[in-house]
Amino acid sequence: MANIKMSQFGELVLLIGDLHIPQRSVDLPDKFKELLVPGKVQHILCTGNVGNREHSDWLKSLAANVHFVRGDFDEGTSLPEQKLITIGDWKLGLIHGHQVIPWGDKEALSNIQRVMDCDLLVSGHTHSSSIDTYDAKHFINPGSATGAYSPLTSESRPSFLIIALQGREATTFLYELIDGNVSVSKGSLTKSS
Amino acid sequence: MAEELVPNDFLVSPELFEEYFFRQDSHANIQQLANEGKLGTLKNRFISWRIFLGILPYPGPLDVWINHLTELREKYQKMIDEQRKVKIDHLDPLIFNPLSQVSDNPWNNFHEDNELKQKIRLDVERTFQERPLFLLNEVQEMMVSILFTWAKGNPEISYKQGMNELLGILMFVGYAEIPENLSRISKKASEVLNVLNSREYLEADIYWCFARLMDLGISELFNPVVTHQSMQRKKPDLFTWNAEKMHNDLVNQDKSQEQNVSSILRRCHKVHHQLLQSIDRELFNHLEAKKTEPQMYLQRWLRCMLSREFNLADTLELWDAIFANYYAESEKELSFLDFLCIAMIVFVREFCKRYLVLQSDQSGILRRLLKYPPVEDVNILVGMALKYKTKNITPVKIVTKQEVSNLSSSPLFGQKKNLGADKTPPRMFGTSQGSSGWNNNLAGSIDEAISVIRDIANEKVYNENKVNRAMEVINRIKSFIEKDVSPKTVDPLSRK
Repeated sequence: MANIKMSQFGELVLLIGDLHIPQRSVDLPDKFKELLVPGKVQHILCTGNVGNREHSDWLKSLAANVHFVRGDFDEGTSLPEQKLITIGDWKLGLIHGHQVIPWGDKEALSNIQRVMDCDLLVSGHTHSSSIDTYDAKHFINPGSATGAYSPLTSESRPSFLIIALQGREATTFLYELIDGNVSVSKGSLTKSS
Repeated sequence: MAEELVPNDFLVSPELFEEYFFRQDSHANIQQLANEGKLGTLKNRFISWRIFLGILPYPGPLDVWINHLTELREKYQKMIDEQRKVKIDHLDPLIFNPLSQVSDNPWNNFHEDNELKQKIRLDVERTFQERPLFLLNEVQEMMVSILFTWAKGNPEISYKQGMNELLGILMFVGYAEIPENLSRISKKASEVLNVLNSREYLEADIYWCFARLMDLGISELFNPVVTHQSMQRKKPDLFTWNAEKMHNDLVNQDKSQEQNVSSILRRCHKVHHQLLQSIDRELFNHLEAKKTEPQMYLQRWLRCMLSREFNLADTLELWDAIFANYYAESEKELSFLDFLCIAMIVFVREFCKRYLVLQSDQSGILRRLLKYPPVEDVNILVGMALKYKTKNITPVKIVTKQEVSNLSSSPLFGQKKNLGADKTPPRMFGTSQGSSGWNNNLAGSIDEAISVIRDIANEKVYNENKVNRAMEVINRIKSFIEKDVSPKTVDPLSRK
């Protein structure tokens, strides 16, 4: 209706997943636990494979809107395979990624993005974080928050992402644990029309 | 606009716009219309209010209006961008990221802003809940945005509950008057009307109306600032046997000139002790006798500008008059609001007096005032308020207890007045034990005499007996003055 820029306020979204607690990892790195406190972000998109009830409850306590999708180890739960979340001007797609074959392949993910019709597709499963742009659409993988092993990599860096959405701009903050210290790198994305 | 959202009465009339605002040869006297309660018939309230508030200079050529509005709209957009963008461009993300606990992290503001936004949203969602217009997501978002922008721009007062009510009224008028059917007027006129009442810039336009309203003294009413001094002074007496006495002192004291109380208290006291006392002494005495604290009912009346006491249509009519009178007098504040409050109290005066006789406490009066009875035509109140405005109201002098005891011991008054009783307020004349009988001492008599004379002046039905007694009193005073009894002759008939 009105052309007023309503999404001027900006929202923070946490992208996290593949914790595999307690199957493959004991816990999140301490430094991550210090950072992830309630009330900092408005939305959480979790790619799946959290591992146990305790940690999915913990994620639910961090923000008001928490979205989960089913990972290949999330058996016995009634989680959806994929989800489309609209925040301001942005449409975010969420999928675990084990369904996308070949795993982590750009074109395969791009197919999913087109079917879901989202501006930004968030997927996991590879345990390797990445921010890509393909065909003017964006693809983010937050990696594994605990650095758990995967069929593709035996050791991965613990990582998660925060994106700040304001209008048609998004600023990404990638948090990684390198040699026991937290390292943050910034990037920016624009929604394509 | 869907029929249910805005009743037909409140829609804008493009034809009347063309007739009275577009064409430069005929002008409507909007001030007069407002005072007569007929501004609604012009069906161009949004424009009229903006003229009254000084946003659109009248009669001004229309392109001046358009330029001015364009400027304001750009200014608003800049304000929003400035306030909401998190400035992190040149900052090291390792330290300044959204999760970092560093103290001067610009993201901390982001989190605080979110809390403020939540607080505002809670109130906005409850504003005018009964009207479907205010359930629209678009409308709610605009209101949150406007209140947030104002709060950030005025951090000393920030957002307070009540501001949402004021904004609600403005939002209703603005939204209702977005033109729908422009087929019956000339193309040029419809272009201009579309620019003036633009849907796209509605948020900016309403923001500036709101900001202007707040500037006219209303924002001060939300300012709770009280200096430290008064806090210290009140404490020790709270637990001593003097407590009741202290409380009574506070109740019947005029604090309109005191600096160490909040603005809203000052204004409530001004309306009650200064204006009401001058306009309707008898009623004032009655209220004082029952220790009715003015701010108990005046606070909401003033802060919400009567929008919570009347229905929407009546509120709009009252605001028409308030704005029109501000515009007429080119004052700095919306002082007509004060006179309207007096009119409201006087309107229910018989009720107040009756209750006072029958009941021993003030809860009955407060109940009546807090749940104001529906008035059939609020223009009556406007008329009363206009009359009060034109009277020359001399401020009532605030006299301290010491001064009064000095006076009472002077020979002019014959017998010593007993001021020891806690219930007596420190004032120049009379006690406030609101009685219609004559008091023993002369001072009280003078009071009553004046009130009788005033009643006569107001052409109220008078009591023959009372008039005779009044004449008696005046003659006595006259003889005192002629005898020149005391070096400190006080002229009882003048109010200093």
